[in-house]
Amino acid sequence: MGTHAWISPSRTLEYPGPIEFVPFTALLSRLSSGLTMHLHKREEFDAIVVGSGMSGGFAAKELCEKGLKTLVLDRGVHFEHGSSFITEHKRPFELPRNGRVPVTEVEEHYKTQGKVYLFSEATKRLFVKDDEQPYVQEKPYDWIRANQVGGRSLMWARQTYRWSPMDFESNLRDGHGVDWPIRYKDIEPWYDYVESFVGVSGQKEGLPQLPDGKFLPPMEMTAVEKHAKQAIESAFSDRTMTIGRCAVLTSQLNGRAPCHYCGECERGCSTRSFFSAVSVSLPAAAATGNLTIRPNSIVESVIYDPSTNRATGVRVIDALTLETLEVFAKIVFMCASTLGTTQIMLNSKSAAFPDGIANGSGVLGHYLGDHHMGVSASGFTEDFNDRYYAASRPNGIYIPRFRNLDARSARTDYVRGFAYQGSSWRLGPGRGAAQAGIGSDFKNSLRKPGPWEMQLWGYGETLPRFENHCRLSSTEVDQWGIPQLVLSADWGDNEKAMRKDTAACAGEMMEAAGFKNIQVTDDIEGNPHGLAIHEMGTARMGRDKQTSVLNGFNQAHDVPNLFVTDGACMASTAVQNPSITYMALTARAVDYAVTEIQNGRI
Amino acid sequence: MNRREALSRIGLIAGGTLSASTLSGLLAGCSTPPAQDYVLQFLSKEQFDLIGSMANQIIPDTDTPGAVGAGVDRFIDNMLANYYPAAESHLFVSHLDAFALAYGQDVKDPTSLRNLVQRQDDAAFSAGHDEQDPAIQFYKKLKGLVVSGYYTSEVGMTTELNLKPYGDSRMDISVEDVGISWSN
Repeated sequence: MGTHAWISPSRTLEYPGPIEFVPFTALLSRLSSGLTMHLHKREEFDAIVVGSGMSGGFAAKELCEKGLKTLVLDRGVHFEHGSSFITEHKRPFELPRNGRVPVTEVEEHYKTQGKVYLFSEATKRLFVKDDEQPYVQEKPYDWIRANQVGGRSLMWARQTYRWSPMDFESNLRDGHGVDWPIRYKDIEPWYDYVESFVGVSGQKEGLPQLPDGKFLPPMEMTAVEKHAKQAIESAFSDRTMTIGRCAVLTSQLNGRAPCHYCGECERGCSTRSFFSAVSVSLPAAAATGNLTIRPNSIVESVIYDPSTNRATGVRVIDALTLETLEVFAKIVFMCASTLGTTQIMLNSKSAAFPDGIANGSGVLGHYLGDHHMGVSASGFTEDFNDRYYAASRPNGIYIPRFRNLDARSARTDYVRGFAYQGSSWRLGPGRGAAQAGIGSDFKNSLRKPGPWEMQLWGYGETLPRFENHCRLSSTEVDQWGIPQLVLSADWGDNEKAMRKDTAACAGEMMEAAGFKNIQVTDDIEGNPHGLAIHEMGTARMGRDKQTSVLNGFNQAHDVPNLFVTDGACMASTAVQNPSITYMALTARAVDYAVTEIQNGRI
Repeated sequence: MNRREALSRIGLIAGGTLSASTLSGLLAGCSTPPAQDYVLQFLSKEQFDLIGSMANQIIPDTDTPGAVGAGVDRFIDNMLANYYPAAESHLFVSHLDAFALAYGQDVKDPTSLRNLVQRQDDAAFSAGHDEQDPAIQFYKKLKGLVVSGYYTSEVGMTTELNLKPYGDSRMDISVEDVGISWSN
């Protein structure tokens, strides 16, 4: 284990000054009392978790509950359940400009982040400012990043779908990518375990391509959705429409209240009804007394000791004070998001790993995937004008994949498949802006709910391709001196062929359901890599250390006490929204890591 | 006074005995200062008054307040000052001035103004109209601001329409159970 002094490798060899480490629960009270406290002694932890979002929050919970003193580092600002939810339940008229972010502010600070569907005056502070944290787009890439502890678990769309047996076999079957080192049966009990803690509402359907889980009662469909389901399923025997499976409670769970249907989860949830790291997994970790969490902590690199072939800790730059420090632990879990984790690992250079830690294979940063989106269909109906709804449902409908499942559904023009999310609603009074008329008749007409609209949005699997990659810039650094990430990815022929079928199937289903004025869109230009916010694959799992970074337990082939359990680990993208799979893999990896520690192997 | 303060003060003074309509009337003025205290941020007084008059032709007073009563004129001044890039706001106002100049005294007479606004609306939504026509672009932007400003205002959301209550999970109900549209 080399020298463990509090020194900075990049700035100064002197003691950099007081370093704060405060237990999470103490931090909360300290912030409110305005006291400051400095620890001058060096602290060692059993485990370091880099990142505190969907994966990091779950890693923290599992590690802490197994008795490990755990340090969670997040580059974002302090953010806590309750008091940080400053826009929760605020009406438009209680927000500046009724909720609109000034055009020039978006242009200046949020050019990429502002493309996210839920970006508004109420949510903008959850996103990084693009101009303050730049990256290089060798090809158009929308890198959507969170600005706080809890990461993107605060803003996720909560859709929760298990991968199926065929998803873990697809690489082997069609030869794209490397074979997954695990199968569905390896992860199945961990899905059960994680879902039971997260709380997932949904309807069991018995589909082989979309396994059922531990579901709370399903949310309800609208009258139009019920009709569309019946019409689509009777017109197409291979298709199912189900209510979205989502990480929002429909009944009590572990003291958390069921959803109150305000419909604005991303502003924070006082009742902890939707799952986020801030409201659910980090508090569970903190309750053990084993959690220390440090915000504003930019991990510059992982420290590697060649004499033991272990990661001994990480180097941190304090985003506020610019102090640098080193922290140490027995194991390191990388959960900083696919691209964040990869950037740190690429920047962790040593004589043994000149191209980044645990990168003996050379594939670190490659096989960058996402889901391709921007194929959609919309339509209107004049039926069901006597029906309405009383809830702002934080969920929609889902049409699971139905292509390339078996011989009958096999395609010759592309491999893998796509699925749809969707929803329906009655147009609100805003429709008046696009409608003729003035005066009291106009006003009174807008008092009635408008016509029903329904939309379907396709999401498709992306093939793992070596040329889709990220790497460190050799010329550009960020304000902390860290090389910027260069992003270079585009859609391939398989995705483009799949999109044609996605559009055609969406249109025919809308027609079968009797919708009028159907518009089918394929906006590939407006939806570059990244915007689905399902990036993954840049430190993939595999059976062979020559072609993959991680083994079947998310453990680096080359450095046995280094684990990667965020989206970087994924050997293929499947088509399902991935968060629940990240959490299940994380819990499984922690269980394995702790056993390995106990057995003295790491 | 914000809405929450208003509610607690009403509670203290009246012990919760005020009628719902009085309560909503009291609350209606809470999110924005009274019109006479409003300090213009972008528009001149003349421009502001004309915007208000046109807005009230689009959404007039009925059994509920119209656009001006909901503060839409102040909302538009705010958006011109703080939302749009300056060049876009100046372009908008130059079209407003041109409108005022073209119709002179007519814009000061409510009946004449109503006919003028109706004509603008007819032109903007007529079959085969020219989307590039600056006058049509101006009117459509104005109408968009009036509609979005009104239906995101406190009056628009709580008085004209229904605020959807929290806690109801039903997604398939009879429209008659609600009567009028949700505002959220």
